[in-house]
Amino acid sequence: MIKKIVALAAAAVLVAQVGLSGCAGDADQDTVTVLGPWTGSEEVAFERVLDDFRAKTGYQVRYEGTRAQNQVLRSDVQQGVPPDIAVLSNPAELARYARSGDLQPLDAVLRAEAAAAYSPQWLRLQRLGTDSVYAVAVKADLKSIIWYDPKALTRPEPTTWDELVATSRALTSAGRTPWCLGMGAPPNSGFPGTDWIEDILLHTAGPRAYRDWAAGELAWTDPAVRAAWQRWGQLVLPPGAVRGGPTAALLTTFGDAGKAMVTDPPGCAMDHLGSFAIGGYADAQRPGGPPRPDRDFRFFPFPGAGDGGPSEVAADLAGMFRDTPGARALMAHLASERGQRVWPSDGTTFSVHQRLVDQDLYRTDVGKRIARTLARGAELCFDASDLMPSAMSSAFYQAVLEYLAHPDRLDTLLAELDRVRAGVDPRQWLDLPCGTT
Amino acid sequence: MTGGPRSTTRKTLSRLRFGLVAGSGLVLATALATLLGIRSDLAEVRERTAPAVLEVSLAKEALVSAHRAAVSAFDDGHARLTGPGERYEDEIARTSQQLAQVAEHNAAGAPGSRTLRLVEGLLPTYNGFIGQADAHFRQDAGGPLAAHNLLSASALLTADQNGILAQLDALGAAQREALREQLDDGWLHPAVMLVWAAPLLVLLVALWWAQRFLAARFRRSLNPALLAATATLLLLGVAMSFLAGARSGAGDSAAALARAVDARSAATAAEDVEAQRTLVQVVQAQCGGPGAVTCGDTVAAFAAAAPSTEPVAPSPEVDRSAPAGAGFAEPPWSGALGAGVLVSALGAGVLIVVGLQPRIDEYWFRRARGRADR
Repeated sequence: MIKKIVALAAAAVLVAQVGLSGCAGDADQDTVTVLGPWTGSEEVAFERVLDDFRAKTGYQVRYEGTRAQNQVLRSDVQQGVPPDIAVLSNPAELARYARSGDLQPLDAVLRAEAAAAYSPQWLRLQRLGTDSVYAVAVKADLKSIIWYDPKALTRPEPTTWDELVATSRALTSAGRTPWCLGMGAPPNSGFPGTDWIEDILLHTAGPRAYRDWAAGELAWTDPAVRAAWQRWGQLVLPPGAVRGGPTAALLTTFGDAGKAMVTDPPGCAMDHLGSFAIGGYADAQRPGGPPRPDRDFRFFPFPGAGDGGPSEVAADLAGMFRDTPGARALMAHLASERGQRVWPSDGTTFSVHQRLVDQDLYRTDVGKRIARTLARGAELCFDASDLMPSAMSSAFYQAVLEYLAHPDRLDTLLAELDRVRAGVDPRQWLDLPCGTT
Repeated sequence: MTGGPRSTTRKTLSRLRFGLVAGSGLVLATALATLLGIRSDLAEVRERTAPAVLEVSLAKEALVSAHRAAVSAFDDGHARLTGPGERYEDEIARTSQQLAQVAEHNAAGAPGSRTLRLVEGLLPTYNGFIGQADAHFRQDAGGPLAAHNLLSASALLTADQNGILAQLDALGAAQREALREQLDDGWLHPAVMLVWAAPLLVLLVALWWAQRFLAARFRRSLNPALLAATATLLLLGVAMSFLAGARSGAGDSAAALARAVDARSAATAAEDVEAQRTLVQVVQAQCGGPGAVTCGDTVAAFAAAAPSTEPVAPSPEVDRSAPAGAGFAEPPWSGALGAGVLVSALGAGVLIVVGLQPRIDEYWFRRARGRADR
């Protein structure tokens, strides 16, 4: 009897103690932290990739998305607490972390099949100018494209710069607004303008000049660069060329500006924006239902980019900052065919995995053309402002905004940009080939 | 002696003595563990979790105040001479101080730390936008670039899912969840009373059984020492039951803290509304008036979304004593309770030995006399 009493009391205490303390294992060991730039629909798409990874491996993943991922990552690294994996759009920023030893090489992480799945140009990008692979291009965008509303643009698609200017002027003369333009994208406001300058320079001065400029070897005051700015100004600064004019462009986000193209009636006819714009267009609310690719919006290559010409591209690159089993597993998953396959399912994001191009993942003509160019295009040139050191790209963004507000200050702005260029540590420049150049 | 075989009685008496003494020891251990556990959890709540809940709220309040101060400075024209203003600088400094405090007290574990670092990473970018707006106001007397930077600052602050304020809300919710878990799932859980009450109840039943056993075997009505032990343990139980009141007090203080934080959040939201309304005026002044044509679709949508109702006036002073609410304080009698538990449980053990030993001795005496008679 007494034995039973004692045993009962002991069991009660034991159960209570276990219940109170819980089974608190170290859950952090099994959680992979990821910092990335995606919010909204892109975050939803990435969560699908992560769901597949969780189901496959059992690891937990905690994703934090912010457009200010560069600033947040800098703060994290300075405090010595980086996320396991960070996704950045700037190869130059990642290259800086590779030089400082904060970024881990991935040669032992990625299988050979993953490395073989990317074209040589993407592999060069993933090496960040080194001999080791440091990044995985988790998704990519084609930038040398101009979106348009087929109902608003009845003229033939322009294939030269002069034809583009003529089309723009014809629309203005007809009382229509040719261009949607919005510079807002905090904290990277101005990037739609830098994309314009980059595309114009690439297709008027050529890949060699573009590469030199992106690598800090061609002055901002060079006539070719100045001409690129002036050409952009001639296109978007005249009265009526941009919905609301330059002031409205400065105060409008690129997403809101683009949506005006697919409203009924359209507020503008053309939008120079990367392939990521599809998601924004498709989200636009209008009485007849959401706009659909091919039917309600299409693109034509930036003049000079069609027929095998060079195309500007951008990518979100994942880098591993903490070498843990979970981080390794996720990096391998992101680079794998299975991981990359999830991205295209919503029709708004694109993979550069070559084996996915011929599979029936992209359901629209728009999507197929973009995916084909990204994965197999031979003349791909990476977004110059993303290749530049952060001090230079930030100054570039600001200069674009200033130019829209005060085009008469162009010479001053270019001179100031050159001063910034001269002040950047030469080791921070990333010299990657532009196409085959 | 009456009843069964002599060897069975002797063994029963010895086992009864051992069991009752061990039971007293168990009651002592569980009661002290419960007391120390509750004191420890109260200290955690008082010194970390409750302050963290309030500090996140204060950080958000300071940041919104800074934003409103900056926007107001650009609205009334002071910015041309003084920039975003002294109040803006003070409130930004206060935001940083509060965030540092949150980092020290964070009770939300690694996810809380991560969100905090995200906020700390975004804050310099926000300050950068305000600085750029200031530069353009001084250089160009305002204009679209100044408005652009103010809008960017506002967007970074108030974006629905990933803005700084949204992150602070998530951080505050995580701290409150941690507080709730500490009150509901730790030593402050109501069921914790069973940890000491169950062994005590079993021991009291065993003492009652011992009285009946002794009465039956030795023809004694009541064993005074065992009766005293029972009374001592009953007193211990009554004293320990006061801990339930401590748990209840902590719950009341947590509710008071939640009300204080919610009141501050309402005031902060009202100030944010006022800042947005002022920002619409500033931006439209810089781009030439309302409407999508002159200011663009984003400003038009922002102006349309800015609440038009009159904001609630912020409450004048935050209750900074809320984290140190009386319910979170260590009960002043907890030290005496600990000593009382120790004395009463040990005393009960001694009384049990004192009460049973004569019966054991008596048994041995009778047994020895029986042998001699034979």
